[in-house]
Amino acid sequence: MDINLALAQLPQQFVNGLTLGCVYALLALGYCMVYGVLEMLNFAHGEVFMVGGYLGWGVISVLIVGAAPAAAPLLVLVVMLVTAMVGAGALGVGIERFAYRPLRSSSRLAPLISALGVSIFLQNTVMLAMGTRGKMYPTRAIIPPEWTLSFGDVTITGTRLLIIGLSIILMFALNYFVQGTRWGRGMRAVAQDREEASYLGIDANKMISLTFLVGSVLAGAAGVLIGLYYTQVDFLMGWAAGMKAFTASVLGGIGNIQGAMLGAIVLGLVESLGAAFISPAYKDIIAFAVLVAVLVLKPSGLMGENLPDKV
Amino acid sequence: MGENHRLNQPLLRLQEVDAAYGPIRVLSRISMEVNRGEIAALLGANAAGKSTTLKCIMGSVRAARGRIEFDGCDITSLPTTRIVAAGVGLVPEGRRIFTRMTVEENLRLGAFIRAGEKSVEEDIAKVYSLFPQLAQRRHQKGGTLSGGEQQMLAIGRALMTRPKLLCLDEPSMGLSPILVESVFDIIRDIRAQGTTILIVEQNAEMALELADRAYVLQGGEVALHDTAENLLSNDEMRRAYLGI
Amino acid sequence: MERLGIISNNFTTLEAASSAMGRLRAAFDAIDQRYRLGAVVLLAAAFPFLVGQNPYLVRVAGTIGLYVMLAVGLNIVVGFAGLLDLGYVAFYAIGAYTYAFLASPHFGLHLPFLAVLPLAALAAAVCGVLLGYPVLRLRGDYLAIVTMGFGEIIRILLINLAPITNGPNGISKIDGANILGVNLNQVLEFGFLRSESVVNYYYLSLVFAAGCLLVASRLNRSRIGRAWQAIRDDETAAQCMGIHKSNLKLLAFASGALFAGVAGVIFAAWQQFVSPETFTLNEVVTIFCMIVLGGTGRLLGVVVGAVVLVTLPEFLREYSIYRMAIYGAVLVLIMRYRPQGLLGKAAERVRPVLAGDQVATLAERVESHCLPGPLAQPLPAGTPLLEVADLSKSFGGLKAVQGVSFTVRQGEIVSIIGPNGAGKTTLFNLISGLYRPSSGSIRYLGRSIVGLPPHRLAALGIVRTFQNLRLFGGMTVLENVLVGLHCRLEGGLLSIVLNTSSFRRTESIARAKAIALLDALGHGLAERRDDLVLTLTYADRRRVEIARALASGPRLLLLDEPVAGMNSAEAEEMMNRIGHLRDAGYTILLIEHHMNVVMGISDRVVVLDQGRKIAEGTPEAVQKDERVIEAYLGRRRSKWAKTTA
Repeated sequence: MDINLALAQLPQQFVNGLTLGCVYALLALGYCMVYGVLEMLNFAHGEVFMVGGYLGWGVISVLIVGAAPAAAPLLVLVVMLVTAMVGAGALGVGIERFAYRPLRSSSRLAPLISALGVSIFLQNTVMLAMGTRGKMYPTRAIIPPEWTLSFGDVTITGTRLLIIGLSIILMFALNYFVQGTRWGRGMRAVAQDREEASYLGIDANKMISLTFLVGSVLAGAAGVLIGLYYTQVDFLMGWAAGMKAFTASVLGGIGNIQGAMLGAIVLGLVESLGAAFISPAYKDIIAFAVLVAVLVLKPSGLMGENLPDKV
Repeated sequence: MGENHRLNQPLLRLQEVDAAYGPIRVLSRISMEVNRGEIAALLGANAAGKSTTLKCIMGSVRAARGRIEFDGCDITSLPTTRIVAAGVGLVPEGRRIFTRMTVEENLRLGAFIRAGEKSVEEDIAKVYSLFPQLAQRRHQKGGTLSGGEQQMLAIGRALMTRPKLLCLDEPSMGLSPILVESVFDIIRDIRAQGTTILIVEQNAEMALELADRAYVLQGGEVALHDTAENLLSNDEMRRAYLGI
Repeated sequence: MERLGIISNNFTTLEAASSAMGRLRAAFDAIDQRYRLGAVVLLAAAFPFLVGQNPYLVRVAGTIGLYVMLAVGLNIVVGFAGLLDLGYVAFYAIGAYTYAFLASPHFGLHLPFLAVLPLAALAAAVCGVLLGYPVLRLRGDYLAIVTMGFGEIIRILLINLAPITNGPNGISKIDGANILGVNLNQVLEFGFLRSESVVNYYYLSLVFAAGCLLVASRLNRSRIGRAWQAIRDDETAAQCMGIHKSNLKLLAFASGALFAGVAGVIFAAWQQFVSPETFTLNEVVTIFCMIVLGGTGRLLGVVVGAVVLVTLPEFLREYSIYRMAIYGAVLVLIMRYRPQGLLGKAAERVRPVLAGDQVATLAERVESHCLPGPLAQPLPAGTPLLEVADLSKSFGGLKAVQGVSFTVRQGEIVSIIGPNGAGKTTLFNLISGLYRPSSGSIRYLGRSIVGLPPHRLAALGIVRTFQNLRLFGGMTVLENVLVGLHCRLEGGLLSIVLNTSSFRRTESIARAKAIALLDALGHGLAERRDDLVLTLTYADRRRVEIARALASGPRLLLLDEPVAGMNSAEAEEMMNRIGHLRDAGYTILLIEHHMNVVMGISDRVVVLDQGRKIAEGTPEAVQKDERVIEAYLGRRRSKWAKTTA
């Protein structure tokens, strides 16, 4: 492999990695927040992301005919995002209510098995309804190809700009919500000490639903963004992305929001650079291998704290 | 007529309350009252059932039998959030402030159920005037405060719920005697401003110097109850704590 | 609309089927277990001929056998030990591909079936250990994800390492099974019976499935099975009873992997073709469904689950695309509405225990067959047993225990008392190995025990009970006590699997001893030995916990609030019992708040306050000690320190 060629590609791959990382970050935040409040891994979160992507496609199929550029691309984009976010949010809340809440006092295994079941069920239901081949996102019709920035070897397409920009906006919005609003405080209180929060009149169930809502809304947006990036969505995308997003949040220290974002960006970069310089076929393995390595060597993640066992 | 009658009744009344943690029988036929405007104390050795009594009142432990009345309403089987909304505040054992959140955030959380009212700002100002040390540390994380400051924060936060009855679970634990004195002075101030107080303490002597009346629990039952003055000179106290 | 009609018809069929199943099950339960098993075995053996060697039906039956092996293996990991292994299918793949490498044209090796089988099984088991070792200390959800990742890594490697694995095309033309000269691919003749190749493989699958069931069943009924269940119910209590948690988890992992490896070999030999497509997460989900449907942990349930989930899709072929979606829904619905599975709770069918008079004679011989507990070597009274010197423990800035020193001598009852937050429980946890001290020393019979894990301490003779009662909720009274015996029972894995006579004898004696212990505690506990422990009253449960502790043959008993939650009559009875224990030679260290108990039976009392020892002495002395009264009642005035007239 030609080193010069490889190095020349570096900045471009860096941009790609950053873009991917931003999408993973949006997903990772959902895992992170749910783990913080319920100490549980929501396997089904990746499928919520996938459903978001399909909802976006649904809007496209209604509003855009063929591959012709849309009349008002920004409007289409907004409708896609809103639909995906609302739909995914509702789905996430519904999943918690039906599949997790009744099991809250059961054994540790039961909610995990239930989550696995939800994940498989959603994946296959979507496959049955939408077909195995995936749906196309006519990205060029939505984001005009002229919207591009170029610096030397690096081309940042409008899509990438949108993804990075929107992700950053959403992450800031989330941060503000969690840190600066009453509801966000309530969520954090319930996550830290549920009983104490109840002594202040805070309804834990409502806060938990809210947590799922916020995480799922972000996942829905991420679904649309990844559809724009890869120009397609398919029913398997939730599973792979979910694993990576979970890896990212563990990498950053599960329960730690800033850590999740950092971990996601790192993972996106590692994956892009690895795919470019080692082999594309192995890019999925990279995430898993990183995950295994981190969990084995430093279970609390890069930024997390070691939680002592309760006796 | 009805209003007057209600105001004459005790603010809090427990009647023949039994409670258990799973299979462990903890409370047995507890009857007690707290009158408006007074400071009542709940004493006894550890595992006597004091904390459990508070938890029953707050609704986090279900009373297996018996009745709990607050301000004329039956709160025996209400969920905790409704009991808090009705006006019962708790400063829990071990303070349990949110260590990862700032002082200001902790206080605002106290007003969670009262969102949107201007009075929230007034109350925060009041708490800061009551506890000037907290005002200085308003943007510090709860975990960085000293034990005494955390106790103040816990009390201030409970005050933000504007309780009619403020329950405190072992506020003296882990504090030096001087700090305990200042905490108890603040409790006196709070009572002077119209809040009724129920304090659970293991340190009988200090509690009896603060309280008007007291109940002494032993083995999950009420062993003694009397005015604080009488109990301070009652030999039965030692038996209740240490056996014969 | 038509489709709905078909589905609703199937639902009514399902309802009818489930009530029929209920009646079948009742009828089943009525017959003696051994006859039942015999009947089932005969039926299975005769099956191919009963259906006229119909290749389709026999093939389905053979597939059931394979899945039984897989499900039993996963059941050991998930159902017995409670570890959520989502990468299980990787071991299936390892078994299958090992056979493919060693018995096909791919590498030109053609080793015989019986040679490859142990190799492949071993390979799978070793991988199980390699995966398990770093991963077992992770929490449940992390474990699930990491094992899932591992499974996927294996699958992707299989697809991409084409030079070794032939990539997505898989390896074909694998040798059939050639067992001791008999080639299963041919039509075999036994006298007047001819069996086609599919039937031969059916029998191969049947034999191994039955073998797996037998081994799993024996493990389940042995001390290893009990230890797994104990770990699953309450890891901490299990450790304190002498169970080496990590080793046993690893054993579960490896056993499950081994079963999957064996299944893989048979699969490869039968199909004569392997490819990565078979070894997907969907397979794991399917196997999970089998376990969950039948009731996690219950072997018969696993078989039923396998039968249902192999045959139903055959009947409902036109719905095969819905299959995974249905499995997903099944998992969610069962967890929510019927977590014990379709079959419900396993009826306890314990092997008939010895009659009363046999118990007495055996109990006398008990000590000679189990490892002698410490009490077999009595120490002179007054020997220092436990020496705690300058012990301290801090959690971050919080000093829970500061410089505590005291000694417990053989034959004493020492009580630790003190106000809330004094550090008593922390002290106990330090002595029983659950916490590591920040500084100071703990010596037992002169040897330092700092840093020893709880299960080692149990083997040395230090055992504890818990303030919040940590019994194993999923097990019966007798089984709980038997877990206590764990570290005193001999008999390794092999003797369990082979059900040797020495193993059987050890088990009988263990049961006799456990029953004798229960009997000694009275209150009809021995009669209730086959009841689930959670159905007992609180006081009875406390007694069972003591019996369990005694079963491990300790020298030093650490009792954490033994009368918490009892009324005065029960407390007094327990008090007397503790006194009897002391007379029988045990040494006891206890934490208690009931002052009557403490003052009534203690030889000495140690008083802690705010992490330090503030007094030590006889009960009478301590009761009058001013510092103690101050600690409990008030700091400045000791008005209540007047001695009684």
